[in-house]
Amino acid sequence: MRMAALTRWIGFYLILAAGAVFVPSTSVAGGVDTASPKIDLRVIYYGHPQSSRARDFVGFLEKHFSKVGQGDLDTFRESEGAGYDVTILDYDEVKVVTNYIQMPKAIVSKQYRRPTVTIGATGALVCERLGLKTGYL
Amino acid sequence: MWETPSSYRRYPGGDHLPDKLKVWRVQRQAQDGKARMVPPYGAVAKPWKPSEAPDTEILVAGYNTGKMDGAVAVGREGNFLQWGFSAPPSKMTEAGRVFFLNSVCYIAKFPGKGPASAK
Repeated sequence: MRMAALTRWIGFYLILAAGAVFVPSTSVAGGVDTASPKIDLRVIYYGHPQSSRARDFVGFLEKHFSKVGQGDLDTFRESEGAGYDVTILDYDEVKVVTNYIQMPKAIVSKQYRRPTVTIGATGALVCERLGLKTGYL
Repeated sequence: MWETPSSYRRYPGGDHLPDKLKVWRVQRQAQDGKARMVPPYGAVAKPWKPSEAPDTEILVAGYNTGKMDGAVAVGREGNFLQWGFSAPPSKMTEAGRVFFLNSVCYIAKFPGKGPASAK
């Protein structure tokens, strides 16, 4: 029901990309053995602090990357990514209040140059705010 | 094989799609294993958007119920990689977890590359 409401009210499409059509990409080939030693990358995760989702992601990242930091997406500052190779921007389920999607500000400037993974609907909204082709409409 | 979403039929070429599509599962679904729409919801982007800017690429398309066949689930523009799937790692498939790790490693190769579309 919520999905339908979001689509109707806002014109965005919040989609569960539950399964990817099998389109293998050579770009991400190379393979990561999940049982191998940690990957020599420093990763920082910004999400909803204390949430089970954040614990899930951070726990997983800590198993696989040499250094993992975490922060609150609501207070994200670009400069905090210094010292990390990759920044991950995520959050819990986005909420709709009076026809507007509510989520943390997550202000990212167009001068921002750090490698970043944006996740799910929150990530798509971050990309949309920046006008990226990976965002919503 | 999953049923072809009705939304796919509304877009050019959609009426030629088969009734079922072969999918590669990146994440597990609802607890009963039947319902496919579970929060938090993921996102896909229109498949022609990456062609509108340089230094963009589509990594995989995503099965969705609101847009069209071929909509982008994982894509990159400059130093941003959008992972459109919604599940945390514990609810990804093993293949999905490996793909996610690969995606993090992949975007690490793009420091200093700003997105051309940023405004």
